[in-house]
Amino acid sequence: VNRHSDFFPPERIGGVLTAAIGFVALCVSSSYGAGDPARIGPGVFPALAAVALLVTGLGLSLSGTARTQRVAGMPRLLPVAVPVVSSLLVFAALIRSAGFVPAMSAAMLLASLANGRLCLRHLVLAVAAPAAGAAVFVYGLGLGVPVFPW
Amino acid sequence: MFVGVLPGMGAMSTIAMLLPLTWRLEPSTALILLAAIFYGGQYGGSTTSILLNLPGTAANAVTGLDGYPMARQGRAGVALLVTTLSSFVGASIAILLLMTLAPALGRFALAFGSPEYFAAMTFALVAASTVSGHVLKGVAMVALGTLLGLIGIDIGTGGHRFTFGLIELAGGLSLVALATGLFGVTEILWNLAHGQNAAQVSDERITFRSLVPTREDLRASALPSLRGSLLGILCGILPGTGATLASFLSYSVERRVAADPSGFGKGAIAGVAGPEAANNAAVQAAFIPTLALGVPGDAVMAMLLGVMVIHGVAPGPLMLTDSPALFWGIVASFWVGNLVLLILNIPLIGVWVRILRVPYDLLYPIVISLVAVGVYSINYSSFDVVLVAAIGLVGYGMRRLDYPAAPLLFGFILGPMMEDHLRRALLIGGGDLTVLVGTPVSAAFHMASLSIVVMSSVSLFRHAMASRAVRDRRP
Repeated sequence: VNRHSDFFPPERIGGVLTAAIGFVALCVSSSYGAGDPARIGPGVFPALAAVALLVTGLGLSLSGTARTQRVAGMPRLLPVAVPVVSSLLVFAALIRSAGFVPAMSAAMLLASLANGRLCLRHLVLAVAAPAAGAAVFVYGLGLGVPVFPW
Repeated sequence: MFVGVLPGMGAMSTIAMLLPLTWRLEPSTALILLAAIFYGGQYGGSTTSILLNLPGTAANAVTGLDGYPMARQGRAGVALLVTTLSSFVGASIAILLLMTLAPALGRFALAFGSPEYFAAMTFALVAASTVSGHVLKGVAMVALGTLLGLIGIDIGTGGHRFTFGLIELAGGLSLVALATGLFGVTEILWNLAHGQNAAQVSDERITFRSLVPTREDLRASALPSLRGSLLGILCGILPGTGATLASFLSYSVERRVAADPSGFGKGAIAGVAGPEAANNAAVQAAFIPTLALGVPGDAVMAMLLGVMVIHGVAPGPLMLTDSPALFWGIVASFWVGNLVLLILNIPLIGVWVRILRVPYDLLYPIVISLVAVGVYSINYSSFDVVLVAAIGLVGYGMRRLDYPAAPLLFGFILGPMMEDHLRRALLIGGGDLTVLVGTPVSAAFHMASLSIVVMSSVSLFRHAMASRAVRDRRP
């Protein structure tokens, strides 16, 4: 099912986004100074890359929709992305304060939610894998984080 | 090798995910491990290609064209054995060439100055962004990668660029965070959202006797292997081409030279032997420009180059004189690695089939938490872990819109190096732009880049005209 309107096919969205990033990058890099030909400033090379982005982005947004890979049906992104992303965020938040095992357990449990259902084997894995991970990383490789909060 | 067997897990995502774990290893051990994943993946990928018609990597897709029909005819064992043998032949020839060519190329490259490096890198970037898929998208991704690579403190002036006031970005975007996010996390999101869980496998019994090819089989695959090896080496050395193109080329060559082309697609053994030799040769030959010149030919090589730099090894012509032990150590590891693959692959074929049965819902939480642990452990930086999540989402968006991720990584690593060489070249030349094309070597590279640009623009134009013609014909 194609939910995109005819005027904004995915190809165009990507092109517009690309051009927008190029435009912003061009504005930002113009403030870095151009220098002179013998000592080119920090702004020249980023500006070149930004112009390339801008031009290709414009080209892509104007060109047809010919080569876009159509994915059948709208995939369920949100129920997948939220657990996966929050799993990484929770790990980042917990690792220093709570220690290795709680952080990795929490990350694994959250990540498991992305699959839709949580069974016993996920719980077992979320206890066993962090224990093994702590043995390898903290005791084995000398990673400098506490294993438990206490 | 384990990796290649898992369908959809390319060498890229695996190297990206294992990257952080190699931090505490010796530079040579780390490189040997990552390189082994790269070429081992080529071996393994063919196994699923033949047994299940599920190629582990894009380069192995061709193997399935004739390998899968062979398996359906009950000749899976023969196909797997021929694959292993011709892969070994291809890899061996390429390593021999690496041993003879790299030192010579290195000596030649000692004469390289900044203008020559700038030219060679331009050529590599142009080739990489135009050869694979959509030209405009490739160029856009290289440019975006370059911009991302420039984040942080500018070496020339000490000023911050694109850090937006974030002190965490002053040291630059972490290569590991970018690579794991772009390939690892994106891969997981994609598999979960699109329900492509690991395929279920029918347990075909593979006995030792079914492995033994007839003399006829061996004779039929000898020449294709040799031809495939040569093609593979060519593709491996040229930037931007690589293993996938090598195996496709080899397949079409085999079909053209075959006495009876109608057998292809129905289990012709030459259609297995040629491409497999080609992609393994290409994978090994790709190390020649990377190690000898310090100019990588594709994104995986660019990543290995990044790993070397992080480990304090400068790849390029000086590597042979500065750290010969590392260079020859890597070459020796190629021999050992390929021999081990040859010996292991045959008895383990049955085991591979069983590995495919690890349920994905148990696999991916482990992978995600390993990504988190690995990325965190490099700099003890929670910021990097957050970054990985963000990059993973961006990567998913890119994949939805069909934007290739590999050129982005290529630009990320090569872009800043190019800027460095450009600045140095202009400084030496006193601001005279002709210094960039002044020597025969750099002029030749620029001519090559230019001809690629012209050729791809012509084909882009033709393509646009063709699709317009199609559209006009419709009422």
